Amino acid sequence: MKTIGYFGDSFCASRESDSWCVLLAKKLGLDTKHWGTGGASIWNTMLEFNNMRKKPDVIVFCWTTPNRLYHHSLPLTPNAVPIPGEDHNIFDAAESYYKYLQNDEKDKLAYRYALQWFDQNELKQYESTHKIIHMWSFFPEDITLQSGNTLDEGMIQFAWGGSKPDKDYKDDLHQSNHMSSEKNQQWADKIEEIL
Amino acid sequence: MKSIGYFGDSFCASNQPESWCNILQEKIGADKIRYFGYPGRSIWSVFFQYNKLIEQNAVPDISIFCWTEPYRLYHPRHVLSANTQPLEGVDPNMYKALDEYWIHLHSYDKDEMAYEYALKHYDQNILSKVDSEIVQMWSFRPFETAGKDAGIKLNTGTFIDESVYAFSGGKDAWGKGTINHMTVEQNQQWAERVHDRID
Repeated sequence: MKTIGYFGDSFCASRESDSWCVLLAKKLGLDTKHWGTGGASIWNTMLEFNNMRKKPDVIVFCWTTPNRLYHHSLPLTPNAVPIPGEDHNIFDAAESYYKYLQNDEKDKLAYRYALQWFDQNELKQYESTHKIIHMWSFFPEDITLQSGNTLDEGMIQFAWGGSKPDKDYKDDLHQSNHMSSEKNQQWADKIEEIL
Repeated sequence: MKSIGYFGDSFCASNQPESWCNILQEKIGADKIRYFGYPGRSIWSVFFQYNKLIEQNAVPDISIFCWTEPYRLYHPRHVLSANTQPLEGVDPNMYKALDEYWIHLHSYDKDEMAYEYALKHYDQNILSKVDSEIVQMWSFRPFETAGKDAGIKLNTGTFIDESVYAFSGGKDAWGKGTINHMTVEQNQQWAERVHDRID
C-alpha cells in the first residue's frame, strides 16, 4: 500500500474521522505514516522530515508562521499555556524569550532562507519519485517554492472564510485542524484535485 | 583603487595596524577598509548588513566573510551569545531571558540546521550574484565549538576552508591573542595565507 505523510503544525494534526488528512488519505487509498504536531515550528517540520528514513509516497507540508520557537517535544508558541506535568521553567523561558529576545525581522529571514534551501535542495531529490505538495497554515508567504505543487492559500483564511473570521466561524479547539467538518471536506477535495 | 570590507565577528574586527585585516588590505593594495566585523555578532547580523549594501548598490569591490558559529542569537544592537556579560544601562531582563534561553530552550540540532540552510542559500543564491570579489572563511569551522565537523563547503568566490579560531590555537590559546584573538605574528601569518589564496 502506498503511503502519505503530513508534515507541519496543528493544521494537519487531526486524526479524527472528519479531518481533511484522514479524508484525503481515504480518497487516495493511502496509509498515513506521519502527522503534523500542534504548535510545531518549521524547524520541527524539517527535522522530522529529514529524520524519517523512508519518505512517504505523497508528502504534504503545511508551513506554519516564521516566529515559532523550536522545542523538540513541547508547543512553545507565543502565549502558550503551560501544560500540566511539564516543566514550567520551559514555558517561563519561552515567555521571556518572546518578550525580550524574539525578533520578527530575523525570524522571517531565517524562515525564508531555510525554506528556500530545503525546497530547492533537500526536496529536489524526491521530486521525480514522490508527490510533494506545499500549503500555508496561516497566510501565504511571499516565497516561491519549486518542488512539487504549492497551494498558495492560507488554511486559517480558508477556515475563517476570509482574512478575518466570518460570523459562522467557531474558534473551537475540538474542531479538526481548526476547521469545520464541511471545510475539512472541501480542503481534502481541493488537495485531491491538485494531486 | 579597490575598496574592501570585512563581514563577520571578532575575528575580523580589529583596526589596529597589526590586524590581519589591515595587513591584507595593504598587500592587496586596496583602498581604506570600509567595514570591519563586530565582536559577538551572529551570521544573521552579517546577512542584514550585507543585504543592505546590496540594496544600496554599495558593496565593496572585495568582500571578505568570516562566518561565526551557529549558537548566537540575533539582536540589532546587542551581543547575545552564550555567557554574554550584561551591559550597564541595558534592560537586565533581556540578559535574564538569555540565560533562561540557554538553560531551557537552546537546541543544537535546530541551530545547526538553520545555520547550514541559511548559509548555503546565501552562498549559492545571493553572494553568487553580487558584483564583488568574494572571499569566505570560517571564524569557527562548523561545528567545531560543539565538537563536530559538518563538512559544509561554500562555492562562491574563494573559499578558505579553515578556521581562524583553530589557527589561533583554539580553546587552549583563547584569550592569549588580543588582535582578532591572535598574536601579532599570527595576524601576519593569516594575512599571508589569505593573500596567497586570493592572489
